[in-house]
Amino acid sequence: MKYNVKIAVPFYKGVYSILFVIILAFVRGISDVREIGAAMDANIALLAMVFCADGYYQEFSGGRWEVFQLCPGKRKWQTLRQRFFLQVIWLTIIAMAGYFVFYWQRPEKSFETSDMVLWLWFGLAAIGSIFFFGSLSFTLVNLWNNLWAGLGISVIVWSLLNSTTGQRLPEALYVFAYGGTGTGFLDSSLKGNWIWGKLSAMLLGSILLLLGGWKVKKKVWIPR
Amino acid sequence: MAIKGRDITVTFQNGTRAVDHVSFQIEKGIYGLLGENGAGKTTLMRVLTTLLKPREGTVLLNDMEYKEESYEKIRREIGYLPQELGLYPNLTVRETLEYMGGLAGMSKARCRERLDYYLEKTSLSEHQNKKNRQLSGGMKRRVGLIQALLHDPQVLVIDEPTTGLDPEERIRIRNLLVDFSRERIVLFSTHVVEDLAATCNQLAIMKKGRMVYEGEMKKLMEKAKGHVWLCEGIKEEEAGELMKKYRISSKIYTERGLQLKIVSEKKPGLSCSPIEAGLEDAYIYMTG
Repeated sequence: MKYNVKIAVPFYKGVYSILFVIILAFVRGISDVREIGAAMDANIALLAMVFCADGYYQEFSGGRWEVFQLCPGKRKWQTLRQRFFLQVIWLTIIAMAGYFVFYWQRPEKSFETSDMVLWLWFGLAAIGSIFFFGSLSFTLVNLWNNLWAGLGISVIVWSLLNSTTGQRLPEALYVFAYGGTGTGFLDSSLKGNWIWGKLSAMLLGSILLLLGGWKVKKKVWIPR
Repeated sequence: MAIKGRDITVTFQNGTRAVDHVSFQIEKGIYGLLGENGAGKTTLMRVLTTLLKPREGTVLLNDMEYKEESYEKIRREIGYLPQELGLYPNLTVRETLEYMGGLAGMSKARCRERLDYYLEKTSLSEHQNKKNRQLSGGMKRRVGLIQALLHDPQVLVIDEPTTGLDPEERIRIRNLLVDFSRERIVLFSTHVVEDLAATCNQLAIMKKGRMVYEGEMKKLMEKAKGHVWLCEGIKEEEAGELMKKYRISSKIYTERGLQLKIVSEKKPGLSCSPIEAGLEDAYIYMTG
């Protein structure tokens, strides 16, 4: 486990993920506390895509794929799963800590729900986004054996979902429902209906992970 | 303990036939695989390690046929050091090897015991807490060798382990391979002839995917006997002609003019006399 921490969250990744959240808090303007979660949700998903993409691919780019491939399938998948979950945990911690950086903008608070509850809800929402987009890029990179193809398709999916096209999806199937849509977007995070969108995203993310696991156990890729 | 290959053929999607109807039998000890770059050595090694499925032919390890359902069992018996093994840059030598031992399914206690033994044997004990990125090329190769040996495989497949190493490190790696070959099969590929001459009795020579020789080194030298010539006092113009016509295994400028070692069925000229064939000459003779 401790070795997987060093492999899954190396120093440079730790630094860029922290910087990403800090910069986001400085460039993304907010005026209300309820906007913090909405401002972070989709962006932290983008970070997760990049962060989790090379969980397995690094064995190829690092010149270890042959030795890794010879290890028992169960062990390989166990270790890759562990790397993925460690990355999800790290990103969730970063997102939840980064939430407070937005307070430098002195956002207004004009509702009764406590800041702590709002923060915990954001934590739940962030896990859903990180898990879904992390597993999406991880699996697509593995399926194509190509980092850029996997990342490219993931970015397209993210862009579609993070647009008016995505907003047409039913709330229960919409991963970014937490951020809300239209004029009532400030209250959407307080309502709690978004949780279904996150749950369905996590379910889909789990299926993607299983698909990735099947690929890892089965397929041998010979680079040219 | 033996690996047998029959009519192995590997064809890539682009139509390149990397291994072409190759057959061999490898038994305990060091077995050398010699060939130029692109001869098919790495492809054949990938077949033997189950990383690549041949289009045709069969491979048997101790009479167990290579089939997808038996891959896991076969892989337990194989240790592999690829030509370029990247090591996790953030981990230390010990951490890397413990991690790889765990990945191979070893218990922590057994892994530590074997690890201490091999670190000592490869003179890496004092470097075990160094980060992989701080290691020299030779040290990285030794770490790679330990990872291949850690789970105590019956077969050790080593792809060009001495490439890019200084002479001292090359000798050290070669000697380690000899030590480790006492109880197992060591298949060792290289394009450096001296490495094979110093380590093994059995070898195969590959050229363009085909095996042009398989057997004892002594017999290979015998094949080249009488076909290696030393030509002395050669003038530049004459040398040019000879080089166009024959395969030259060495060329030295001496006070008397050029001295050429020529591999040829027939005597190349009046100033040439037959000399004893070295492994390099025999290799040139076989692949000519």
